[in-house]
Amino acid sequence: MNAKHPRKLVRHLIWPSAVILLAMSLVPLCMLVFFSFADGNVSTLNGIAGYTIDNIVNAVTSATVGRLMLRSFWIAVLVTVICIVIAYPAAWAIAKVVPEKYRSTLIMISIVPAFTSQLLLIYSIMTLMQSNGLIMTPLLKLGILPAGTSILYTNQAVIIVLVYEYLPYMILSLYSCLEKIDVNVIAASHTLGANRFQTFVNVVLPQSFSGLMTGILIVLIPVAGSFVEPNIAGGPYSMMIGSLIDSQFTTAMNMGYGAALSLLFLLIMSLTLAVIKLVMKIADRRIGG
Amino acid sequence: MKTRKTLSLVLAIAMSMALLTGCGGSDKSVEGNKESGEKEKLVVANWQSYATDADYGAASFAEQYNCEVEHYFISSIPELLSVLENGGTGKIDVVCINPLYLQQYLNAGVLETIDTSKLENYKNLRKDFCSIDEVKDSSGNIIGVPWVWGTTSLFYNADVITDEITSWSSLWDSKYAGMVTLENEYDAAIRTAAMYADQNPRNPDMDTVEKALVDLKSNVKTYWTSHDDFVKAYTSGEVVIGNVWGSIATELKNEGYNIQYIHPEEGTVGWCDYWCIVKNTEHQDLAMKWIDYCTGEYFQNCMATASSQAYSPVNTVVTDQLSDETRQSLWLYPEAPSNVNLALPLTDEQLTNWTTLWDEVKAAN
Repeated sequence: MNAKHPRKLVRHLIWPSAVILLAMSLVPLCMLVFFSFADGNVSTLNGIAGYTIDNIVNAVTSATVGRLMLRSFWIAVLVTVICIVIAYPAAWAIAKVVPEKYRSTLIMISIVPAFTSQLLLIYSIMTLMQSNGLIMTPLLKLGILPAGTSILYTNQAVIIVLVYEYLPYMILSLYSCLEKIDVNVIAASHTLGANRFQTFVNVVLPQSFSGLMTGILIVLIPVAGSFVEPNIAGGPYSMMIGSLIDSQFTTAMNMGYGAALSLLFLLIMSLTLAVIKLVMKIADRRIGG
Repeated sequence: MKTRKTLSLVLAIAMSMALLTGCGGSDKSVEGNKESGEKEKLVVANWQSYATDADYGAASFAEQYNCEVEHYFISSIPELLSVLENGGTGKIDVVCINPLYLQQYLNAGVLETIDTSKLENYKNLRKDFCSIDEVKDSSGNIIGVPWVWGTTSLFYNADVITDEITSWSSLWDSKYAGMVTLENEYDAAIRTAAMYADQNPRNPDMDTVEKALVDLKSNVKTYWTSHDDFVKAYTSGEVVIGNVWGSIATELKNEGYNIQYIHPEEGTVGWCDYWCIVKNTEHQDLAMKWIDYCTGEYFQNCMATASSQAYSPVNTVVTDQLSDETRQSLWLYPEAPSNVNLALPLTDEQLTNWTTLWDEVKAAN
């Protein structure tokens, strides 16, 4: 039997995934660029009315788009940071503190919200946050908050809902890296005189950078593009860029402008991620050493 | 042998007859069906659970006119238009269309004009709904007959607000800061603001409307997007005043909530659905009878008094005859609002301007 045959077979096995990648990623991306130049709406009945550069120009020069991009980016950064702060100790506890036999159960519990319907998650957390809900009632009764205060329909409510939705992904990403860290390395760090914080910065953080990067990727981008959460749980000042894109496809019937906004959003987020990756690479070199 | 020959002859004659009947025109086919005992069938395109599929709708009509009524449930406006343009014509006989899309259907050549002189109940229908330009073709012929309507008007929680509310300006009153909700829908929002700012709701000054809506933001708690969204905000006490569909206000009232729903003095935002006949239908007469039935006293009365999902009648005689209790539940007491600004189609330019304005209002800091 020729020893090269299995390698050839493996090479051929790449084709299905390559085709899927092409069909589901590159083709839609090319379509997005193409439709960004469509004048007005694109319909199956009438096709494309014409082509224009105005969509791109308007998207780049619009003050409304700029404002919404900034608001969306700010909310996404906040949600990502909160997720990191909560997820690190949680993932560490599951990976290193809890006995091994309970780990899979705890991981399952922490990712259960990710299996639940998105709308159900939003409505359930809203029930807790409403003025006569489980969280607000004791705070109001104890006089911690003045009567009539409600966190619902504010930007804080949107952030809480988004953290609740995306926390499981961050925990899972970090857990996969933290679990591989050798406890002897941690012990050695302590033996050599490093305190807990120094151990975290110099040992744990560098070894979990890849998980952290994955977590940031999985949380930051979808959160920045959210539109359901601000629409349902947000107030009059909670609109995000995702809502504007959504309205172009569903109410304004201006698919061309919607595609241009999506393209601009994609470029900004790609650029942001490139910067984050670069910063983390530099930090990794400096810390890790 | 003789028996065989006789049987063959009978079969040959029967087959020839069947062939001849089959070769006849479609009208003859219907007549043949009638003669053979098969009932004439009317295909009605409407939204599911929207009055006509209730017992008092299709079933009652079918019994009264000894025919069959089949529903084609609409899933979306473009989809229905596509069906009618691609072979649905001739199969679907009557369609329910909102005036927002009537001209689009007319331009696609799928609608027939309606001779309203043949409709017994047409004279009793609300004149303001019958006379809008959108239900006429370029020659002034009628293409749609109104059969159901409703409003998106002003509600308030009477447990919290004890003042008498009569105007849209209450929404802008600083007393209600953080208590107001508005439907997250450009058309209702802009026309509401136009009425408040004393502008023509169909063609307002956009700068004035934008300023009014941005000013209102400091009072707004949330923009509601769906039935559940509104009910949640209202029942939890988060919002106490704003705009809402009449049907939601009725539902909450029936559940025991002290909600008041009024038609402000400046006017109210409304909607109305129309029956249209599909071009070249084989069942023109039955389609006319269907429209007359749906606008007649029995159907309109049943629709207004239905225990669940009641709708306001277009027939003014029926409205006048309703009990005070029913009129109250439909928010038509003491009388139906006269100044109803129907949702009507916008030009492409208007649509862009209106949706852009609404997005800018929501995006404003």
